Amino acid sequence: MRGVRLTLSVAVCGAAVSISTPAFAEQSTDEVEKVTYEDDVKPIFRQHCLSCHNQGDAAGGLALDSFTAMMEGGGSGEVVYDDGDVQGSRLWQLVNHDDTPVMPPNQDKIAAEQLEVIRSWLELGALENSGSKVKVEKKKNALAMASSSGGKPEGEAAMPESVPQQVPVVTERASAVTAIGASPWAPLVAVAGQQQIVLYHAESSELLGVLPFPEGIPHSLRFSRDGAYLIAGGGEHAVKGIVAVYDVKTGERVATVGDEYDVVFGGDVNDTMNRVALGGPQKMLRIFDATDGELLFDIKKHTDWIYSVAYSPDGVLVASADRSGGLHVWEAETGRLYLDLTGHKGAINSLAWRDDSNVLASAGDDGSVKLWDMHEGKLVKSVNAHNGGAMSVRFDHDGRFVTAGKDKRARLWDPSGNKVRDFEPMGEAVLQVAITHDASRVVYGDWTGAVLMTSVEDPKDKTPLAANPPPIPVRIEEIKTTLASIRSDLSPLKEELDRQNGELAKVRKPLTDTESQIATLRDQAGAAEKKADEQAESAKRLAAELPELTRASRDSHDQVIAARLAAGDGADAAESVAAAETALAEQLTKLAEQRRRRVSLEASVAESRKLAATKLAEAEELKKKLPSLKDAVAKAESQVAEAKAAHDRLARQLSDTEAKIEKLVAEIR
Amino acid sequence: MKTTIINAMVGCLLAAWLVAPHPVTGAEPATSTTPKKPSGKPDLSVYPPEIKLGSSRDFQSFVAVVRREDGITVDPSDQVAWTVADESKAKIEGFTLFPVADGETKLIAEFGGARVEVPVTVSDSGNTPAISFEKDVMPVLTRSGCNTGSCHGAARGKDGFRLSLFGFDPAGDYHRITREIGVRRINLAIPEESLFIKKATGAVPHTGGKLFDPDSDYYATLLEWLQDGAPNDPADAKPPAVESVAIYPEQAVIEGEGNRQRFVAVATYADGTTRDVTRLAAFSSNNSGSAEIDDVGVVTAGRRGESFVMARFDTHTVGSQVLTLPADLEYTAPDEVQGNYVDELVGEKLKQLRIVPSGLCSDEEFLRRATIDITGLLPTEEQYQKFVNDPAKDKRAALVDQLLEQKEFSEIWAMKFAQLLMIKSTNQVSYKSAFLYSNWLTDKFARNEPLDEMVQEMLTSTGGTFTEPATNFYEIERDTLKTAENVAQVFMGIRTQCAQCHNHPFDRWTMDDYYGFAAFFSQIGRKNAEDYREKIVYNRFSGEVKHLVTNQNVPPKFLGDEAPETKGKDRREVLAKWLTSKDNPYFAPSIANRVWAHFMGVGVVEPVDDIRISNPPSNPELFETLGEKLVEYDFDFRALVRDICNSRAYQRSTEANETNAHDNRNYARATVRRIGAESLLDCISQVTESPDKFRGLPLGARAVQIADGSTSNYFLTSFGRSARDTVCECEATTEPSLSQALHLLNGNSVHNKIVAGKTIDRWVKEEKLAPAEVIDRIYVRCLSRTPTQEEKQGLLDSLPEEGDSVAALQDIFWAVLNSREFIFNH
Repeated sequence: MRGVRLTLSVAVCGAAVSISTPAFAEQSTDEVEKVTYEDDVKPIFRQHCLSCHNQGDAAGGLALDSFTAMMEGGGSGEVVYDDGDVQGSRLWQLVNHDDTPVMPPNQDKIAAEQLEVIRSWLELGALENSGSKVKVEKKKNALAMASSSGGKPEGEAAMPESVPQQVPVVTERASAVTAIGASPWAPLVAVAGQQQIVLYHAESSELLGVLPFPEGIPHSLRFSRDGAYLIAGGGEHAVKGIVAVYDVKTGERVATVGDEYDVVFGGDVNDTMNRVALGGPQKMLRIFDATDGELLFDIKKHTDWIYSVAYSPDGVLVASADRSGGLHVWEAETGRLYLDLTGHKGAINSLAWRDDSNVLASAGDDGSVKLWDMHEGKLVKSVNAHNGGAMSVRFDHDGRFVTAGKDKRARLWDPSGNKVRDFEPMGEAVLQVAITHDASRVVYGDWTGAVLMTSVEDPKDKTPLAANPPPIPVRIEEIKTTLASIRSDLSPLKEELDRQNGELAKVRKPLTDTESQIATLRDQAGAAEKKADEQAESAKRLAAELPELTRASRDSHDQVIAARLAAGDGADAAESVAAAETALAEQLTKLAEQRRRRVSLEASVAESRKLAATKLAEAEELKKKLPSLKDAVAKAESQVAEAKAAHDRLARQLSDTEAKIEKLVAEIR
Repeated sequence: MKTTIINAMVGCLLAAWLVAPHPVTGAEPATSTTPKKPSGKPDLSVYPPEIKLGSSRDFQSFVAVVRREDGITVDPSDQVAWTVADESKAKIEGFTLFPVADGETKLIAEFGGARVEVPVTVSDSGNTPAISFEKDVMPVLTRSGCNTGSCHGAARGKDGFRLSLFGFDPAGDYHRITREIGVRRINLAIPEESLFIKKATGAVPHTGGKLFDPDSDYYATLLEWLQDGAPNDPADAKPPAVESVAIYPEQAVIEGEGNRQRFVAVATYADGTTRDVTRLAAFSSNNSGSAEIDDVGVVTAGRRGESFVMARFDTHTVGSQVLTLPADLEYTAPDEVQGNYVDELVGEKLKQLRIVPSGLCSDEEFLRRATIDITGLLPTEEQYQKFVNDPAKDKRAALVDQLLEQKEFSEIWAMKFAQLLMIKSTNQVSYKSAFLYSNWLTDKFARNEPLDEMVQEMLTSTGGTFTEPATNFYEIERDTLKTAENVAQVFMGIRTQCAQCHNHPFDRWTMDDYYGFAAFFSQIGRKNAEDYREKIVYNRFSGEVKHLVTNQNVPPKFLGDEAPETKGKDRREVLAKWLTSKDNPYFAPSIANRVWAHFMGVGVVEPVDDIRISNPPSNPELFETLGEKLVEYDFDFRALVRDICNSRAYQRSTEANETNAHDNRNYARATVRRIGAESLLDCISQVTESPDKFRGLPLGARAVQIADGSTSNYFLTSFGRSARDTVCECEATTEPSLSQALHLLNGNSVHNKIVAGKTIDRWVKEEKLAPAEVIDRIYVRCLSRTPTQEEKQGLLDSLPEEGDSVAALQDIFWAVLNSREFIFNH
């Protein structure tokens, strides 16, 4: 209730402002060159329009030859607004061939430059003449998307976890597609079938589960705002109609609301999941308390079968449309009529709300998709979307929308209603369309029952989804075939992996050989060096001992001399001299040996050093070969990794698939 | 010659029935006396006369009829020994023949010594064609009544589902059934769940109720079609069109309430194949109290009477006559029929119906009747005296001849046609135009110009509405479609209006026929002449008519005939030539029927401008013969009138007898008719000798001569004068109303005229007639008879004994004019 009041009061204030505060006019820029009715637009009208739309004939009640008469509008209401709203101008819609009847009738569009004049004239406030002043500040484009508060759940968005896989009804072929829904926050698509709703993964297109709908055929599939629940309206034609609410994770039915005597064509819940609105061939819009199933409002206003019912994302409004072009918007809490939107010239087949709840889209048998502004309560854009009839419309989170129609196509449009993409035609009229949460894929189905999931970026990337999935045993068989093919795919991968490993070993051997060679050489060099060092040390030690020995020898020599001197030629003396001389000789011999040893040691040090240098040089030489060998190994390694990844991926798939089979088998048990 | 109906039975038939008591007629042979005639083989017929089986799906039911010597027919189907000559070709189940193998054989019926062989051709017996939407599905819908005007055939459909009325738009129906609302009507995944068949079998609530069983052949057809994927017939292989439909037997004369006769309906397609449509045609009876027909073609006799049972299939309606007679009727056949061909044909029919005609009327009655019918006036006293006292044997014929020579005869017919042509001044047509147009017409009749020439001149007229008054035909009605409708209704007695929006439900006319016929009038140009009141009508050699459904131009095509080459020609000339041709099957009979109805009170086809298959002539031979005679007389219908008025049928008394009291369509007695508004006023003016004054005419001119249809007075309006708003014969009525009675009693027409005419004054005061003589003259004048003794005495008693008897005699005059005997022709 609060929300409604707020919305309404905002709308009212807006209107009041535009009429009663000339202050805005003061603020408006006067620098822009004026485009006026008298100077610029009327000559164009004279050329193309005035022969019918003059005050004498006034075809359709509209006269364009007088400014006042023009502003009054024609039989179907105002055609020009002075608030700068171009898209909302009926005149613009018709001359720009956005809507029918195109004007001038049975002719091509008037020249582009003239159209541009009309457009800028409307944009600048539809001034009468050069003396006129712009009334209001240029209005924000109604199609500009207000930032959406989202509704995105905290944490992971719901995906089926334990949804049953049993198929309640198996049919050879599918019937015309009745409903397709896409989760707003998860890669999840729901397709209506016979007494069932089939859930598919929006990326892998894997069948995630089947929700039984024993009442008959679902005709409306909408996800709750957070994507946690799926709301299905439908039933058995001419017998019974209900709205069922499913928990997306478990597939459990959490609520069944309504008891119509004919099918439900349109059903929806509000943002807080405490209201359910539904309608069908009984022409009554019924709003229930979702918690206890109590009928709160029984609204008799539609004059023909209700085809679509939709709550605004903020839960403030609920819209309902019927087979005769009736489109009504209600205050959700009070059940009071908020807007009566006239414009469609035939059945309205589908309704969709933009995330910000400001714009409602309707698709009708007249081929148009119309965008309605909820604040002004008027048509802001009408797109001739599908020749022969537009059957379905859905928004993505950015305000772009997808449509489907009897021209066998689905289309994507930008928020302003300009065509972004045509998807490839199907075999028959495309009846339903949905766009996935990330707007990456569009899912649509036709009269023959074929459903396609197509990439938005690459419309050639199409995956069929079955509205009539085969029963579990058949699916197990199918999966087993997949399994077998995975297995048969896996074995060459395994061989490849082995082969690559062999290759790797092959290229690794020369590398390790070389490396060990280098190491050996290095070791040898080290050993030689070490030896040299030791020898040098010994030599040094010997050298250090030499002076002592020299001195000792000199002492001994001295002693010899002394002995000689002392003894003279005596035997004793000679003996002592001889003893001294022997000692001296011994000492000298020792000294000489020492000297010789030192020299030889020094020579071997040099030798060792040389050896070490040679070994090192050899090692350096070998080292040069290393990079190429290493490259080869790295290459081989990466190839192995690649092969391994491929192998592992498939192996994982294999195990997943095996797990799935087990799950399915468990389910039939 | 007197014998009972039972006596008339054929001996051998009787013998056969004694062996196996006849369950159908229930007539008790034991009550019969000895057969009058020695044995002969029964007159056995088997229908259809030829059987073609063209696929494994095909079958053909058959029926036998035995016509007894007295004309009564019975259905001996279950006593007939049915065999197939070559059982390897076809087999019999019940009264239906099924194919076995390709080839030719015979269906043999043997009964009481009679043997009838029906040739049988079996072809394509190995082929089971797919169910076709147009050939198989649509007939089931039509047969089940889905597309009638009260159900889904209504312009806005029913309960959200619309079909074209009686299936005139198969393409649209296909779309609405299969495509309009996704899966609502058909569910190709589970065909049995399709609402389309669940509604029809009553499996789900259906306003139209249950139409057939799930085990019926209808259900099987629809289900198989759904199982095949509800395909449309490929545009390049549409099933052949239905060329004709026949219902057998052509006639049945059923004796005894509750007895039955089976009928068989057979359709022939453009490719020469035939099909048993007994279970697909919609049967109806125009008199179900007398002969009720059920949905499989079995007629059950009800009370005595005559009916026409019809079968409608595709755009074709055909019918058979069924006469129902009580079982124990005592009937004395009249003496040999006397009189002319009219009497022969009428007598033949009366014999069949076991009706004894009333005797001839008196000379006085005849005089009054013929004079009013032929001239629209009463016989004068002199004529009365002359005729009554004429001893000649052929005085009636002489009277007719004499009356036909009077200009009043042509004026009556000029007026009748002026009514049909809606001659009157309106905002579009000036008084001068209407006046000239009326004069042109009266002149044509006065000069006894053959009707075909007059119609031709009118339809092809070109020029100013003053200089060529016949062009007013195109000014009074300027709408192309309406002009075509009017031409069909006025000159052929055919109402095509239905076919503007859908195929005629009870006749053969399709939308193609309608727009094809309208195309003859699509090139009429109109422009202003110098005098603002005058318009110029010319042929502009361009302009087409678009078909409502296809929105394509439709080339001109004669009703029920070929599409002629009209390039460079005035299409109206081509049409007029065809219309008034002696071979045209509609023009002469419909005009002759109008003439007949004028004299006999009821047309052979009634209403006279609603000739259609489902409204057949009560006496087809008479209907045709009258038309042929008119052609033979070169469209001089004086000659035809002579035949009619000289017939005993015309000259019968209005007194009914036991056998003809219930019948008013077979001319066994004269019909009492109120005199038409104009003639009645003329008669009153005539007998009161007080002339009228109408706009544009001199004092004393008669109401019949009024040129401009917008000229009227209170008397004429309240007595049902034609307002000339439409071409319908029903515009002029003779329905009684309170205002008529009150006007005669209290209004100025009778009393004022009596006073103003001063007839009684003259008789009493000038001619000094006695009251009794005055009363005689009043009676002769008004009623063409003298009063009976009682009447006369009673009236004389009511006169004042003394004084002026004028007022009293005027009152008597007034009373006579207010009598029913006066305002009726009897």
